Amino acid sequence: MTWENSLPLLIVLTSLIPGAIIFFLREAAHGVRTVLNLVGAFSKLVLIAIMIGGLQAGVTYETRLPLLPNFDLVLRSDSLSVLFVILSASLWLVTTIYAIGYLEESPNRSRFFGFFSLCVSATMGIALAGNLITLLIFYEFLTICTYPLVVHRGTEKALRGGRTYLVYTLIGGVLLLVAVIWLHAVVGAVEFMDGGVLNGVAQSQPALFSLLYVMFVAAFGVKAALVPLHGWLPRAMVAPAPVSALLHAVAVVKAGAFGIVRITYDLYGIAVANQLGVLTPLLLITCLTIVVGSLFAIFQDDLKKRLAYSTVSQVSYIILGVALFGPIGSIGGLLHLVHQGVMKITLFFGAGNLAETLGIHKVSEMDGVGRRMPLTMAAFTVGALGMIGVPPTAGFISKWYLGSGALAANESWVIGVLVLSSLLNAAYFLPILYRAWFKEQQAPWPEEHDFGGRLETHWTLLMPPVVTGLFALLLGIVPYILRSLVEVIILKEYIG
Amino acid sequence: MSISQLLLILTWLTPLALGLWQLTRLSATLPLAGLAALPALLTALFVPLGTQLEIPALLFGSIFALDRAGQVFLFFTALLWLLAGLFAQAYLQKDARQPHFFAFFLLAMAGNFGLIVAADMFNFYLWFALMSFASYGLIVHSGQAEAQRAGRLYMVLVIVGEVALFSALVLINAATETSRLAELSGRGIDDLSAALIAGSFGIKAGAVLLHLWLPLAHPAAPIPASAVLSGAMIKAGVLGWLRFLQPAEGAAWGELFLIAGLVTAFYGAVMGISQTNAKTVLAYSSISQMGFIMVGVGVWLIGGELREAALVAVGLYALHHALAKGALFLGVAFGGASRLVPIVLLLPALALAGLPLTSGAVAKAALKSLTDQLSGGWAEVLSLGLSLAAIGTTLLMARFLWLIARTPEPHKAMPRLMWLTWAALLICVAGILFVLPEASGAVSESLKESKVATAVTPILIGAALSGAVGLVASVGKGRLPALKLPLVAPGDVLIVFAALYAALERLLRAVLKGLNVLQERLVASLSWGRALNALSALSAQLEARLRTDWLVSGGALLLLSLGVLLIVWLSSL
Repeated sequence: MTWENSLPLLIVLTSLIPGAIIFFLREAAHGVRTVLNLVGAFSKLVLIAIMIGGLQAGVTYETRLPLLPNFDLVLRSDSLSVLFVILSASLWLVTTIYAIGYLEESPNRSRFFGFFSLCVSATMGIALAGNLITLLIFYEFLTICTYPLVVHRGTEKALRGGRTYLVYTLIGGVLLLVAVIWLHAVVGAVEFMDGGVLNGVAQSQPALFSLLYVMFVAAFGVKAALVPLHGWLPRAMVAPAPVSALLHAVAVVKAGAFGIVRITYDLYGIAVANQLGVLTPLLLITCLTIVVGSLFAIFQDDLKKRLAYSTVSQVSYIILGVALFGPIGSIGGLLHLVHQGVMKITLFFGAGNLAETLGIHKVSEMDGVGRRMPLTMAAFTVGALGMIGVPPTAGFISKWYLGSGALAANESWVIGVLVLSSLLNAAYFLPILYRAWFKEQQAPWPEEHDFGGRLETHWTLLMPPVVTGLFALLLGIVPYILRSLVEVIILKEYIG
Repeated sequence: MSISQLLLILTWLTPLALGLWQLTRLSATLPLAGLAALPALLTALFVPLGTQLEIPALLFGSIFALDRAGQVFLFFTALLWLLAGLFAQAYLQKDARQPHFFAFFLLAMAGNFGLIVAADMFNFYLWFALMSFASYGLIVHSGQAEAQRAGRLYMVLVIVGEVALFSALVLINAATETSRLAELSGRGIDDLSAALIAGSFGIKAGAVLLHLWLPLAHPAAPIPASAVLSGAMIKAGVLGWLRFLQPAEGAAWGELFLIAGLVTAFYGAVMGISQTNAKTVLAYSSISQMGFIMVGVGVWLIGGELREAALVAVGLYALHHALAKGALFLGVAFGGASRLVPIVLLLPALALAGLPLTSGAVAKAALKSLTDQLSGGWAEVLSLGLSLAAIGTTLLMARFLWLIARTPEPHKAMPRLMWLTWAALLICVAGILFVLPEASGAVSESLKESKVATAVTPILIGAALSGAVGLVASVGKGRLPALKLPLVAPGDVLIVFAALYAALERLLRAVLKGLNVLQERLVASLSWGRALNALSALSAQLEARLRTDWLVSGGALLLLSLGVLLIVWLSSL
C-alpha cells in the first residue's frame, strides 16, 4: 500500500468507518459520536489537501480493487473529482456541526449520524469513481443510505415523502444499470478519461449512443431533479434541515448533476456529445427546468418547499453549463456546482434555524424575523441575493459565465432564460427578505426555543450558515481562486 | 500605492466600511456620518486626472480610475451627499430609526461613489447594484403605506434594470472582448445592447415611460434622502449612458435621445403641475430636468466635433441640477418655519428655470450653444422646444413655491446644523459655476445679450401664466367648479402598467394552477401507492408460491443463475 494507491480509498473510508462504528454506539454516547464525526470530517479534509498537493505535482492517485473478472472498482483522483470532493467534504463538515446542534435531544441519533456518514462516503465514491461500474455502485449506495435520513422523523408524511423518493430514485437506478450494462456489452470495460473515451465508436453508431446518452441523463436527471423528474424533491422536504442541506447541496442532487457532467465530459467527451447532437435537447430540458422550477417556487408559502423548487431551478444551471458547448459555459456550470452548493446550504441552514429556534416554517410567519435573528438572516440574505445573481455574490459569477458561454455557443436566447430566471428568483426571494427586514413582527413566534446565552440561537446552529454565507460572498468577490481550478479541468476536457 | 490611489480607494471604502459598521450596530448613529463623503470630495478636488489603480484579485480584475467625466460627477455627488448627510443627522435626530437610515444612506453613498470611480464594467455593475438596493431602505424608511408601495414599485424596476444591464454587459463584453470602460469608446455596440443600456439607465435617470417609480419614490423618502436621490443618484443613470452607450449607429441613437429628452422635459412639467405634494412637484421637475440632460446626451451621441463640448455641457447641467434640486428638497423641511423660506427658495427655483447670473443660466447656455450647431432642423426645433420646456419649469417652480408658502408651521425642532448645511448648499448653488474653471466658457456665453433674452423670456411668460392662474383661482373661487387635484395621480401611466401586471399575474396563477392540477392528475393516475400495493401483493403471492411450489422456486433459481451468467458473459466480451 502506498499513498498513490490508497489515498482515494482512505478518503472514502474516513467517513465510512466512523459511520459504521456510530451505528453501534448507545444513544447517550454523545461525546464519542461527536468526536468520531469530527475526526472523520477533519481527517478527510487533510487527506484531500494531500491529494491536491500531489495533483499539482503531477501525481495520480488511484485505488483499484478487482471486483469481478473485468470489473474493477476504481477510485481515482482527477481535477473534476477533486472539485466535487472538496465541496462535499467541506460542506459535510459544517453540516455535521449543524446536525449535532440541530438534533440535540432528538431520538435515534446514532442511526441518523451513521447513515449521514455513509451518505458522504457514497458521495466521495461517486466523485472519485474512475469507471462506470464504480459510479453505479456508489450511486445506488447513496440512494439506499439517504432513505433512512429522509424518513428520519418517522411520521406518516415523512414515510410518504421517503416512499416517493425511493420510487423515483430506484427507477433512475434501474435505468442507469441497464444503460451501464448495455454500454458494456457494446464497447466492453471503459474508464473515464479527460476528453472522453467514446470518440470514434459513438459516431459509428450515433442512434445507439444517443439513446444511451438519453438513458444516462434520465437516470442521473432523477437525482438532479430535472423537470419532469423532479417530483420527489419537494416531497422529501419533510426531512430535518441538515438532511435537506445534504440532499440539496452536499450529496444527492449534486451527485445527479455530477453524474451528467462525468458522462458528458469523461465518457462521451464534450466534442462527441456535441457531434451526436444530444446537447441541444439537454439545453432545452435544462432551460425548461430552470423556468418551471422557479415558477412553482413563487407560490409556495412553506419556506423549505420554496427552497426546494428553487433547487430544481438552480441545479439545472450546472447542467446548462454542460449543455452549452464551449469552455466558457462549461466553466460557468462547474463554478455553479460549487456556488449553488454553498449558497443553497446557507439558505437551508437559515430555514432550519428559524424552524428550530422560533418554530417558523412558513414565509408568512417571517415578519420582522431579521431583528430577532440578524446573523442568520444576514447569511440567508447573501444566499438569496446569490440565487438572483446580484454582485458581489458567487451567483453573479456563475451567471456571468453562463451568459457569456451562451453567446459563445451561439445560443444567445439562453440569456433570456437567465434573465427570466433572475426575475423569478427575485420574485420569490425578495418578498422573504422584505418580510424579514422591513416588516414589524405581527404575531408571537410559533414556538420559541430558548438556548440561553447571548447569541440569537445555539452556536452550533449559528456558526454554519455564517461561515457558508461568508464563503458565498468570498467566492463572488475573489472568484479567481476557484476559477483557476475549474479552468484547468475545462481546458483538459476541450483539448482532450 | 500613492496617496492619490489611496484616496481613490477611500472614496468608496470609507462609506462602505462605515455603512457596514452601522448595519451591525443599530443602537446609535455614527456621529457626523455625512463626513464619510469627504474622501470622495477630496478625490474630486485634488487627485490628478488619469490616476488609476488595478486590483486583479477583485471580481474579474477591478480597475478604479478618475477621468474627466468622473471628476465632475464625483465632485457634485460628493458635495451633495456630504451636505445631505450632515443635514440628515440633525433632521432625523428624534427618529428612533435614525441608525437604520444611516446604514442604508452610507451604503447607497458607497455605491454612488464607487460607480463613478469604477473603470471596468463589473465594478460599475457592482456599485450600481449596491446603490440601487441600498436606497430601497431610504425610500421605505418612514414605513408608511405609500412608502411601502413606492418601495415595491421601485424594487420591481431596480430588478428589471439590473437584468437588462446584465444582459447588455454580457453582450458588450462578448462583442468587444474587453471589460475596461476606457476601451469601449468607439467600439460601436449593436442596437440591442444599446437599447438595453438606454433602458436600464433610463430607469435610474427617469426617462419618460421608465420614470413611473420616481414620482412615488423620491417624495416617499425622508427629505435628505430625496435630495440625494433626485440630485445625485439620478445622475448615475446619465453617467451609465456616458460610460456604456457607444452605439455603432451614434447619430440615430442621438436623435432618439433628442426626441426622448424633449418629450421627457415636457412630460415631467405637464404631469407635475397639478400635484399637491411639494416633494412630488420636485420629483416631476427632476424628470423634466433630466429631459434637458438627455438632450445633451443626444448631442454627445450624434458626436462629431460636438462630442467633447457635449460632455462638458452634460457635466455642467448635471452639477447645476444636483445642487439646485438638493437645495430645493432640503428647503421643504423649512416650509412654514418662516415667511422668508419661500423667498430664499426663489434662488434655486429661478436657477432651475435658468435666470441669468444663476447656475441654471450657465448650464442652459452651454446646452444651447450645442443645440444651435446641430443641423437638419434640430437647432430650430430644440431652440423652441427647450424654451417651451423652460416655461414649464417656471410653472412647476411657481407651483412648488405656492405649496411651500401654504405649508403649516412645523412642530419639529430645527437644529442649527440643518440651517447651516442648507445655507452652505444655497451658497454653492449661487456661486459654484462661477468659480469652476470648466464653466468659464459657458459663463461668458450665458452673459451674452441674446442668451440673456432667451433665458428671461420663458421665465417671464411662466411667471405671467402662473400669476394669471393664481388670479383666476382666487377670483373664481366659489364661482368656478372646483378642480380635484392632482389631476393625474403620481406615477401617471403607472395605472396602465399596474392593470397589465394584475392581468399578467392572474394569467400566471391560472396557468400554474392548471399545471399543478395536471401534475396531481398525472401522479394520481400513475398512483405509486396503488402500484406499490399491487406489487407487494404480487410479491407476497410469489413468495407464497416459492415456498410451496418447488417448480416455481427451482425455475426462479435457474433464471437468477442465468442472469448472473449473462452479466459475467457480457463482462468478458
